[in-house]
Amino acid sequence: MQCQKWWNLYQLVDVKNAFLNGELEEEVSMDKPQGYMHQQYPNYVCKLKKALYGLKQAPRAWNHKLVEYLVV
Amino acid sequence: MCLHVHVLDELRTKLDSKSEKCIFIGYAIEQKGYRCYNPNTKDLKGSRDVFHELFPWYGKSKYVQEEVEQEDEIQVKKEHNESKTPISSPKKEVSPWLGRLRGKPSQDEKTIKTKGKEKIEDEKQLWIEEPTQNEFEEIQTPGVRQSSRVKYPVERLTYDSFVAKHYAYMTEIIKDKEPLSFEEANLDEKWQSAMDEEMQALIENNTWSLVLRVEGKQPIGCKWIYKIKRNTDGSIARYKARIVAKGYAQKYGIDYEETFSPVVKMTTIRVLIAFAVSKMVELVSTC
Repeated sequence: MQCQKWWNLYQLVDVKNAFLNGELEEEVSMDKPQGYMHQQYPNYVCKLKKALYGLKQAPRAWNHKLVEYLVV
Repeated sequence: MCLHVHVLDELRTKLDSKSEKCIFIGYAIEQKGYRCYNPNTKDLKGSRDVFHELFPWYGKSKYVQEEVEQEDEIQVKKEHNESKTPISSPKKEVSPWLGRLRGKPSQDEKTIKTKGKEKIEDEKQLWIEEPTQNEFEEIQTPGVRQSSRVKYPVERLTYDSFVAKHYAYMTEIIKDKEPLSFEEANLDEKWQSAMDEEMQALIENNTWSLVLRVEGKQPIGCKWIYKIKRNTDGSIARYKARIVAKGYAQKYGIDYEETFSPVVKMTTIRVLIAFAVSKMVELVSTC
């Protein structure tokens, strides 16, 4: 019984890299990271699907994700 | 030490002297100033308006002049001759005196100091004929206060004051430098592998898809940030590279619509703690 609770709580708190899991609603394009060129598509840009550190809407995306998780 | 204490205007008439000679006892506690004793009137007083012939800002008086001349008779040097100029030009006289008082320590200075000591001791005997002589001798320090001060070097923060463990920790921390740019990091194998790791994680997380650049829409930049993650003892846990988007280049309405700053409410934490306590479970925070 105890063990089960522990496990539950642990699940609640520990989400790895939660910040990077937030999904973006807007379309944001970003340059490719320095030093990493895709050999097939050298001139393409990254269209972000998930949040990155430094984005304006990153905390919002994270919060959205969290609320989603907690409510559902 | 004999001081000239200013007498207030109200306490003297036109022909009285503007100051009276007193003995310097110390510093007044109840006011900002010197504490002086007048042996003639047997009066103890505190005053800020005080001078002594040896004060550097006070032009050299007869008293000092005499002393220098006496010395000149013993040691004939060019320097000394300069200060022999007559009293009529006090400004010129101040500088050689100051120069020797504060300048490089030479034999001259030593002799001056001892001379001054003798002089003041004479003075003391002149002034004190009371049985309280011993008391004064204890308090009085011969010589100019300013010059007799022992100058200690300014103590700066040094590593010496730390415990060996802290010392080791600090040296460990400043030993390695985190690279500031990609070019810098790319020279090092461990940073390269750190970047590979991060890229791998981002791709696995399906963070982005590669698309053709849309005409008229400027992609925002991104940057590598390098961080050394450490254990509590300062040893290196891992090298971490991280991609950071240059969010400052984002424009409202184009790159984002709404932002949000999550703020924790204290009640939320209290509820969590209360919950944990009531269910007898342990809280572990991971960061």
